[in-house]
Amino acid sequence: MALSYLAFLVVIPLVAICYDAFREGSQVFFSNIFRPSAWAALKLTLWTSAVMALINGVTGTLTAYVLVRYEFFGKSLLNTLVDLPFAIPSLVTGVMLVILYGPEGLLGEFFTGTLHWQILFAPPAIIVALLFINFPVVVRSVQPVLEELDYSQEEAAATLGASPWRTFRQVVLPSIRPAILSGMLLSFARALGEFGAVVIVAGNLPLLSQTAAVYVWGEIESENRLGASAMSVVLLVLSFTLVLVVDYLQRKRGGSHGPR
Amino acid sequence: MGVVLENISKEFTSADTIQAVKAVSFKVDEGSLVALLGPSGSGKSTILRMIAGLEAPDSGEIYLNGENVTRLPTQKRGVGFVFQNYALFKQMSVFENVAFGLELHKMAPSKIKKRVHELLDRLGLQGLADRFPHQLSGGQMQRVALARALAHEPKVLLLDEPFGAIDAKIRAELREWLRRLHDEMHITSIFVTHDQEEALEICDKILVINEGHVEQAGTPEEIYNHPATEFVAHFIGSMNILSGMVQKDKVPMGPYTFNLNGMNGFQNGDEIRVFFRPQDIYVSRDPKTYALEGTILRTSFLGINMKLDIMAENGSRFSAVIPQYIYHRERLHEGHRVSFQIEELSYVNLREGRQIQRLTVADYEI
Repeated sequence: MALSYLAFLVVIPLVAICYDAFREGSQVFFSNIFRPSAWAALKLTLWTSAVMALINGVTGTLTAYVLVRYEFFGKSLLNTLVDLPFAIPSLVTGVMLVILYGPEGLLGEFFTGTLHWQILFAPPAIIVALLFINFPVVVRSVQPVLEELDYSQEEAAATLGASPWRTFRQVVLPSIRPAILSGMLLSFARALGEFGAVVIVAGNLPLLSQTAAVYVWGEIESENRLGASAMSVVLLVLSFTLVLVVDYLQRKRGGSHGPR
Repeated sequence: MGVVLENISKEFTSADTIQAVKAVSFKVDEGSLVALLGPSGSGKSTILRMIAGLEAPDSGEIYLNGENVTRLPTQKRGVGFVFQNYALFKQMSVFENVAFGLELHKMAPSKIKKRVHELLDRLGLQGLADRFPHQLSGGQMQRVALARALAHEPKVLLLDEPFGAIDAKIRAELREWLRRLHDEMHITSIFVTHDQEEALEICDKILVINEGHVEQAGTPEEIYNHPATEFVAHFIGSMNILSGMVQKDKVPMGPYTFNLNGMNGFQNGDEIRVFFRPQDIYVSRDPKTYALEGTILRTSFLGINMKLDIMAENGSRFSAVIPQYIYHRERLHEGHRVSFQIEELSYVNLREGRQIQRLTVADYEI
């Protein structure tokens, strides 16, 4: 019963889209991918997602560390706030960023007016939107591992003379590295298909600021379903592979826990 | 020199109850091995952690080898610390664990290698240098932790319930390691334990900690033979503790009853507690051998000894522990009448305070 439900809900649509993408042969599939506007959209998506994942890896880890290791006023509030991006509809995120970075916005005036640095309707806005939406991913991936990590290891390092930074690097980081990596990969995978916030802030100029997801939407709108299917399959394969890698990383982490 | 604490106080929350270390002062001589012994929640671990700088005292001063380290961060105190749960760096090999502190002290790699192997040899860990912590037994892990804590030649070695998580048999072995290591290296060592046997066996000196203060400080013999307070009497070893009240000019001292006019410092209405150890009681089948008489209620087999539960003629009940051979020679069995004598008694007159007074057999056998 459960299996047939799964088949109906997941497997059949997956088969359908792959069948559709290759319906007119692999040559057509590849020409649909390597068309300049498609290829540019794919490249833009990959690099903005990668930059986001790198920044997110650092800030997410630091946030998780602060939330686990330090006691301060407002900690539980901050802990709740971390999940907020999950709760905000991504379209709303897009609108917020337009307000903030628009020509009359608080930050827009500063960046564009003072620094002459175009944020909105350009790749930086895509990165900012992706950062906002995926902020909780790394935090929530690292936090439980840090909580489980025995604090006395850090105390032991301190008694041996290690500075807090050295302790973090040599004692804490090796233990949480797989969690950081899987958080980064997961946020990367989520970013590949992000649509709602991106379509509002990116400007969506083909070849310049159109991401793969927005490209798919454009193809559907202009009734070029094969182009949409081809790009969709690429995104699908990428995301699926990443989820498998993350799964493998987490399994490995679970398995290497020896007796304490 | 050594370790000195002056009026160290701290309030802290542990298991959701507020506890405190209350103006603790003591001195640990350089090169000695001292135990902080007390029940869980007595504040003994907190005291140790304050010496290491892992907790900050609310007030008071701490000196290591004459230097005031109260406001010095842990990193600069030069202590070695051994944790109950080993706290080995899981991602590092045994060698890297022990070398960690040496690398921080910028020692040359060749010297580090020599020193690490020397320590591993000394702790019986030869051949384990490349293992990772999860490949070791509990006893081995704690010896690695000991080697790691000793590597950088700390001024003082601090051990927080070091053998608490280890099976009884290995624990005895590790105790001997620690004592032997201490005798070879003469490093000032303080270790926290709730296991009195451990403290009595290997320490030069014991500080009994209760409710955040030092109840008594002394050698194992002093603590065991002459407990200073009711708490220590109760906590260390097995002890018969009997309560009574002075009334109608009679002072009840367990099985003994004395006349008030022969005793100093008592008055009618005083509450007293009497202490005597089960092994300080002599028992005989012959009613004339000793001054008091009683009945054996129950006997239990303890291996090398026998325990007898005895009721004296005045109704007080207590336990006596006697060697097997006396038990057999005297043919002591449940229900038999016996005569007995208590070698040494201690008591507290609760009206006067907590300090224990002693009476020996010469004081009361007329």
